[in-house]
Amino acid sequence: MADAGLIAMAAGICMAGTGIAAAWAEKVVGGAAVGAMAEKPELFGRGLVLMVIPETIVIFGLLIAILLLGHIA
Amino acid sequence: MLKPEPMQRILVVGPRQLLEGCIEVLHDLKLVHLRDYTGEDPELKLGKPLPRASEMSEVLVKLRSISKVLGLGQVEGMEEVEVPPDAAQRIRSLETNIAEEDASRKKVEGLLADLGQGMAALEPFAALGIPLDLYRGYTSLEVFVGRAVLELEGLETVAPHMEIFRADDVVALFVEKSKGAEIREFLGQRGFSPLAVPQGEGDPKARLEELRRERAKWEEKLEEINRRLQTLRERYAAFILRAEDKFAEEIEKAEAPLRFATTTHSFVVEGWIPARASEAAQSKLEALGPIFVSFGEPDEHEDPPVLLANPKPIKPFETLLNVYSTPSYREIDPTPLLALFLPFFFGFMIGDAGFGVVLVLFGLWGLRNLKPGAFRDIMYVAFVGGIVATIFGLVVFGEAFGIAFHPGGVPGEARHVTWEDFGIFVPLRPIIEKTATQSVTTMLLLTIVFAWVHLSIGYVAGIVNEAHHNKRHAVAKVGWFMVLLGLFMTVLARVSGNPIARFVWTYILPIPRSGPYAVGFLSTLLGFEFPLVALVLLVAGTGLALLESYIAPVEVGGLLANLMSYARLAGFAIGEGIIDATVTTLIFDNFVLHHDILTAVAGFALLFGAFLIIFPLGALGAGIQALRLNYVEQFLKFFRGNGIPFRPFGVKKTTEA
Repeated sequence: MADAGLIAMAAGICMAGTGIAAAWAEKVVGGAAVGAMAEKPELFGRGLVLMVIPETIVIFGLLIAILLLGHIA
Repeated sequence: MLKPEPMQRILVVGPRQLLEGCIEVLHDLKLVHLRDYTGEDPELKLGKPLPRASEMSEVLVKLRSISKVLGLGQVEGMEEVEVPPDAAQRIRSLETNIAEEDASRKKVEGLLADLGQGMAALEPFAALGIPLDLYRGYTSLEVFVGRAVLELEGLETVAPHMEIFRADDVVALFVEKSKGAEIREFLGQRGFSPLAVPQGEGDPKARLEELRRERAKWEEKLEEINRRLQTLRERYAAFILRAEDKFAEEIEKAEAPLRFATTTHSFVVEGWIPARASEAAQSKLEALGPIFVSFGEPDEHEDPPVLLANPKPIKPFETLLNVYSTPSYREIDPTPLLALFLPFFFGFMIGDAGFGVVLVLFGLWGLRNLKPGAFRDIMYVAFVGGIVATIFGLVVFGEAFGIAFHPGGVPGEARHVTWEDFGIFVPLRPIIEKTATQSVTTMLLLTIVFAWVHLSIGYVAGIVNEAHHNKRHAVAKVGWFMVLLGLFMTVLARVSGNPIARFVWTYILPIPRSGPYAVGFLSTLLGFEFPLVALVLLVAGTGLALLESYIAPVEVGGLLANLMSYARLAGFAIGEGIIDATVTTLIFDNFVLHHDILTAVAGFALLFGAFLIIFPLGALGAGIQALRLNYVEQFLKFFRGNGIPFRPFGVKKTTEA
């Protein structure tokens, strides 16, 4: 199929883009969470929760990539 | 389980002379969470600490300074020591003794530091060997001493008449005073760093020797002091640590009246007590004399402290719950849910019998060797997670240490090393080959089923929580429950050919969904038969959810995102599986199978190193992801938290992890 390469590239961009986005968001949240924890260590749990929320972005990327790859076969 | 321990309000009123006895009883009970009196009633004054409080605080300060000097605090395996009644006196004299030793130690340490500096300054001059008095006191000569890192080429042209002495990189330069400025500039350009000539006269070597002898003398003295302190430490460590505890406890008791309300002749104590313990408390307090004790049920607006009441096997999960938040008194305690789903998700993601067993052993080691506390609780969680991972590895995925039991049954897949290559035949067939491309859909669908179950339980808990609290919100939660079911059906309808979807349609949701029971225009639009029930659930559910907030229709998208969020389970499981399979296949093919024994040993070392990186990272990642699905996806559906943890009077405050 002629489009296979394009589809694969689209899937790759999907993963890369969402990966960078998730990393960026976690950087911001993580920095703030550590700052808050320095003042109130009991905020660890809340910090962890907030910290992992942006990870969902990359999961969406993964799903879209899998759906895209399904079109190659 | 599911509800915290029921609490009762306790009120104790008694005459002042029974105050001390009452404090003793409450302290020994270790079951009363005191409510601090804040002086809201003008008739009742805050109590004053018992007279002995200030003396005890003074002794405690001395004790803490002693244990700091002796470096106590990390001493393990201390034998139990009785604290004698004359402890305060002994501590005072011990403190004087130790403070003296500490002062002389500090003095000697200061002296040694000075000596060290003096020696460092002398060393370069000792190497040059010129008597110190010869460096100064000239009328026509200028002296430069310092370290020259670069070669001093062309020095003769700047100063034709000079004398130079060298020892390694130390240079002493004697030149005419008139050339001083030029030389300084010349040296400055060549990275020459000048050294100050030390005070004193005579041979610097001899002086250095003298300082060395002096230092040795003081070092001996320091050692002596440290030996004496060490002896004191060995002799008194147990006593000091025990006394520290004891005095801290006594001070807590002596200062307790600060939390009570008092009048001139009586005192009032208010607090919370687990309902099961109230009778025992009453009889013990009334045995003291004319004391009035009364109990009351908490009313609507009160927030009693929360003591979680879970059976032993799931108690360690409370630690992980408290990291998030302590449940409030009136809501469902989600510990059992956490104890069920956390190991399940974790085990699913690891899904490997070999790593599962390693985790079980690791957890067992922690349970045997760690003191009770947060770390031990986490070890227990690893232990349970390991058991689940082993079961998943054996029964569902059929692999151990990243190596599948049998070769894959799907043609066209990359070849992996299997246990059969080593002549080991495991009589278990995998239900899902997680590294095969065609399993991706099945794995994803499986996670959607998990998501539906997990979130539905979250909504049911939400309905129960809100039912006591706010009926409208409870109905809205029912709406969300329906929306979730509708979304789940939509996803299932999209992939109805998959065995998992077929299983759910046949056994869990046996409802008609095709032909007249499908929505025609949606089916044409989406390209699959859209069940009518799903549409009804989605529309009606969203309608009910509007009772909670006007933006509910928008939040349906959020719920869909929640459902998709569980795809991380599949992503992680497949990712880990493929990394493991690749690493083992590469190493076994290139080092072990059909190779000589030395190469094979190197191969096993390499494999061990690779596992040492992959496995802990994988376990940590899986743990955090599993925790996240509980904390974020499920807890946000029902859990409010912000409860006050039950901290009874007399129980030492433990520091939070």
